[in-house]
Amino acid sequence: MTSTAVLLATFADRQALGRALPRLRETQAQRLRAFSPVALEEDEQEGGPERPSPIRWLALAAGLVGCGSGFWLCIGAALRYSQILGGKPPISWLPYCIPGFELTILVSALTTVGAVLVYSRLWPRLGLPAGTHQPFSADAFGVEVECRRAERETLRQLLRSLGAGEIREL
Amino acid sequence: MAVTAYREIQDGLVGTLGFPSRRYLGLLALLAAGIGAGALAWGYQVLTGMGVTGLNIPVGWGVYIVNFVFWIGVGHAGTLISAILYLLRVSWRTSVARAAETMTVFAVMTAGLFPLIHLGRVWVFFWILPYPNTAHLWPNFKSPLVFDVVAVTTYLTVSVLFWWVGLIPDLAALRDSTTGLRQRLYGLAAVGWRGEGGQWRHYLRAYACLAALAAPLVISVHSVVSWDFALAHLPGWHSTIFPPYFVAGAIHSGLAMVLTLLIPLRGVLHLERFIQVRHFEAIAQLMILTGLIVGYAYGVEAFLGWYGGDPYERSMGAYRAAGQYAPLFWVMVVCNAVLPLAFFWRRVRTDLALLFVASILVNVGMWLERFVLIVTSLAHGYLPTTWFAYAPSRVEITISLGAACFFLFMLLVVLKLVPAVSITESKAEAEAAP
Repeated sequence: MTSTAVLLATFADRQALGRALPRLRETQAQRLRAFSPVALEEDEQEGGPERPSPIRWLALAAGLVGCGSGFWLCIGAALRYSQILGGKPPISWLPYCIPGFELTILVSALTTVGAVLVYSRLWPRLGLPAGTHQPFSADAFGVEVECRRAERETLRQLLRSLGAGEIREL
Repeated sequence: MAVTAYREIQDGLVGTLGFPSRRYLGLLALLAAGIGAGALAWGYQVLTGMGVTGLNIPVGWGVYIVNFVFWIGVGHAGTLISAILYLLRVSWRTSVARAAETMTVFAVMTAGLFPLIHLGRVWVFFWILPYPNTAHLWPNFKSPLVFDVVAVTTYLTVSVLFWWVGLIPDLAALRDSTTGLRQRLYGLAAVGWRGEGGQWRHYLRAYACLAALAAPLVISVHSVVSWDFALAHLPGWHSTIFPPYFVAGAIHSGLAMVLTLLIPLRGVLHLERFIQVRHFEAIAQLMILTGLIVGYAYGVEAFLGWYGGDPYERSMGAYRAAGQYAPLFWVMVVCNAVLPLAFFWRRVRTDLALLFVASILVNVGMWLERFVLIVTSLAHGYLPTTWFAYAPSRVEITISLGAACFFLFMLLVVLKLVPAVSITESKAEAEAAP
């Protein structure tokens, strides 16, 4: 028998879940996961507002890389082709802003999607992923809390006092 | 928010994905026949050569390029509604955003067909791509045609990504409410989404980032398309007004296409509860703005042609208004700039039959705008000895109709696989509603 227990509790609505999460964060639970069929704002998530997603910084960095790549591609192609016409230099900075801009968007968008897949642990799976609670994609809100086995009754009482409906041990 | 409302919303939208009715299947079969006819015509063109088209020097760009510009423009409304209105937190977008995004994806795919068809020797299309090759040839990144390749490829990629990322929570809801093969396939597309708070944290940030990245694409892509013309030294083309003129026109035609598609689809898919008259009214209000911009652009273009004093520009203005293509020009002006003014009247905006007819007329007008703009300048250049009257051949018309069938076919198929209205956002909107 493992030394930890996992309790799954459902809440009637989003507000009840939002009220419960700060209290549950204070319990020092070993693992806390909230589930919702609608988007949860940062202060409603299990990590709280102090843990913003780093994706925007990755998007920015990727955009800068994309911009550089766009110019590099244009300059590289011009230098490789190296056809001098009318004595003009082969590199033209102004028109290269267009591929530079487009690659900024493209690389940033691809990185953003890659980042959300990696950070959210998303990858293609046939059918239901392990541990899926189907009602949470339809009409139920809930939390999954892992605690020491000895503390599960205390946690169960706390969840009930916070307005949880069904509570079951996984 | 009562959870029963969530369930009702989900059941209502999942219910639209049932097996298609006979009439729906019949329409799909008709569209498939249209695609087949278009494919045959394209095959004939490939085997015979570009001589089967009505193209001839100096009119080297005809309805293929008209279609390319038109379909790219149609796609713009989807990005406007899904990305720009998302960033502006416009609440009514929820009901129409998914269908508009889906429309964007297939409109851009349809647009992407035309440069390939127009190439003639489509099997060497990869020459436009930058890669080391034994001929030591590299694309010229100073050319607006190469800009187009980069811009349209980026637009298609970002549109598909934005559409799919927006779908992930809905695909998970579909996975969880189906069984068997459908559950496995929806599961594959939902990539293991469980609706965890941690997943929402990254998802919302990524969605906002994608919206912020897609928004400038709306402006940039049609600006780039306009430079195909504006960077050429040809009367009627060489104008600095083209980028904003094209962007406004693109959004105008895209919004009209959203109305043309959604008004009948609302009834066919039984979406009356989710897509209401007020949503169409909001689109019509936006079209007043875009129609006024387009009308202003027509006026400025004509004025600058006259005021600039260039005899060739003046000649082009007179040719468009009174030459052999004049009927098309005036139909264009009435459909795009005059007709949308009727939307100032609430009665017109809220009458779906009138809106539907008006949206079709705006679509016709916007296609004609591209035809008039592209063909007249080529047909009436600097030298009278080169003047030429272009008319599309039957092959071009068949391919164009086949591509339109492809667009509608793909849209109708996909809207039976994924909900036309976002399940997740509809729940959130219902919760936020007073």
